[in-house]
Amino acid sequence: MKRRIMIKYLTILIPFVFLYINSYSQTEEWIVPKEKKEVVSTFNFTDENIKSGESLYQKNCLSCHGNPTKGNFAPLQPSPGDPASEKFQNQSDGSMFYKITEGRVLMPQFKNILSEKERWEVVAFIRSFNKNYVQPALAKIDEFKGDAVNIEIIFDKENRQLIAKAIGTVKEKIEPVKKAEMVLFAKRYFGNMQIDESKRTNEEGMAFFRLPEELPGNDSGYVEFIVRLNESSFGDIQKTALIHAGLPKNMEKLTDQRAMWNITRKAPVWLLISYFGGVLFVWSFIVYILLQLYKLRKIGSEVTNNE
Amino acid sequence: MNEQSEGKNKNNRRQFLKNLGLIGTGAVAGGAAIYSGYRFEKSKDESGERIRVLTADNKLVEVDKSALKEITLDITELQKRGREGLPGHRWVMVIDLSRCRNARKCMEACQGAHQLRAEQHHINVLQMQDSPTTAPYYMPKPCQHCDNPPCVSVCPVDATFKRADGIVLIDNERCIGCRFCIAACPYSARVFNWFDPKDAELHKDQLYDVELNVPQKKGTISKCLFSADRLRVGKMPYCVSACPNGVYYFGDENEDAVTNGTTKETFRLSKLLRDNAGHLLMEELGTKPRVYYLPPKNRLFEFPDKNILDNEHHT
Repeated sequence: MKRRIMIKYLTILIPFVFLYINSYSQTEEWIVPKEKKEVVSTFNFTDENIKSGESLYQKNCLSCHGNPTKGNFAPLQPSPGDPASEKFQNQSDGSMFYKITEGRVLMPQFKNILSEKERWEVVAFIRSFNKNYVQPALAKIDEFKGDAVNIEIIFDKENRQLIAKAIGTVKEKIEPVKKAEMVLFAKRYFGNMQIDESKRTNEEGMAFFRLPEELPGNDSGYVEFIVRLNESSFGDIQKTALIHAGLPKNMEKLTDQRAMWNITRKAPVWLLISYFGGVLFVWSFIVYILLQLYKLRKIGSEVTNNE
Repeated sequence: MNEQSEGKNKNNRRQFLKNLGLIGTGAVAGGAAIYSGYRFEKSKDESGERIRVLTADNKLVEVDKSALKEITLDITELQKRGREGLPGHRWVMVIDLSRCRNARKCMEACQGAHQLRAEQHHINVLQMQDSPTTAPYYMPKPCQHCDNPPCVSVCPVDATFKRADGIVLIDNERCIGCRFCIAACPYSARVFNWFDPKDAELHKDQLYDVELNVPQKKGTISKCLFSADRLRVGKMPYCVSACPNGVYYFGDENEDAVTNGTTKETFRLSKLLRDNAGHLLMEELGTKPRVYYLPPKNRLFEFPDKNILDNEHHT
């Protein structure tokens, strides 16, 4: 009995505890891990970067953060703030990049929406409002040179999984890229849909993605897969492959079935029969009467002729 | 008399031969003409010059150059295109009620695109409170694009119709303004142009596009079109892309995927609906809507008026 009451109290309490933590984290200052703060861009912020950063900002950030320097950000809690403000500009590049990447509460996660380069371009655009800003020294690219890293995609039909293998050249020798984060997407009409979770490559440079059982493909069941390497030190690397791993799209057209709302040719059979039957009946009746009148006239003229 | 008859006979034979000759040459000439025409047409077919064309459903096909016919987009062609729809798709919208905070950007974008007057709404954000003891919430309500649309059933002139990709459209050029569809629609999704449309003078020379339903016309119906013109070019509807709070998801049921208009993140439709208890509006009427709602749980925004039933607008 006591235990029951305990459980009852606990079940009531637990949501409150969560609520408390939740509200606490909302008002709390956004803490960026130290190693993430020190992250720097792999490329110099040029006018070109700033320009593409601007168009990315307008598509993805403007609705909440408003136009930089104008202070017309949305009145949300926690406040999005003006990116040109001092509070924003006092952060390190790494902090900005981290916040854009991971998101928090109302700030969406752009990890899988914008590529690494695009996120840095947004940072470049935000920095363009700070005249005192000097870009820190660029990140040193690891042994793997950007262009030399490549991804191979293999479809394991038996286990319904996709194997992505990342290989790169180290001192002119081909070697697997170990412990790199990889993400798998399937191409859809309005954007790329993430499949499974992001995975880290193993010692052989391979990451295994489990494919869902019923993934719709194109008319013949092919799905366009995109594998992206989420690792800043290699630059932007992704690979696309068309693989027969989905279900063929064979849903019938929505206008194929007979229905009241459909065109005449597709009207319900009972409606077609009763309507056309009715019309036919009325017309045949009219024709019958006309025929009788004609006969009467004929008989009448015969009688007068005989007289 | 005799001479005359002889002459007539002679004449007859001569005439006959003359006619025969004429018919003969005529036939030969005609045959030759037909044959050369046939040869010409055939040679046109085999010009050998082949062209690659991308079809509307994104297939690359190769056709002979002679078979190409350029289509100018006049009103008839736009109407035809609008009736057919985009092959291989079944559009679907998901509205997350927990995220709406009445920003009304969807309504602004929609009214701008469709040249609507301030009081006309293809999409409207409503304040809802189901009962005095339940929490209030905002609910955007566009046309539900039913798979069993009562409005289309009642149209006497085939002005409103359902396409193969699921969209219910209205053709201004056919609409007679009887407003049967307004009476039939259980969602009050349709509006009537009682007055001259907004900026009528400005848009009067614009080519009528049935997929955008502009220019609007006085005395006809207007309704939400799922922005069929935007879908054709691979963009999401005006309202979906305008939302700052990530309320809308739009996608293709055939692909089992919907994309959030704000964050551009793509999710599996079936999983999204299953995990969040998605529901339909007035499903019991059997209209089979194509717009799903996710319940207003874990609301991200505080509702300004705690109890809108106390509000004077609702009494």
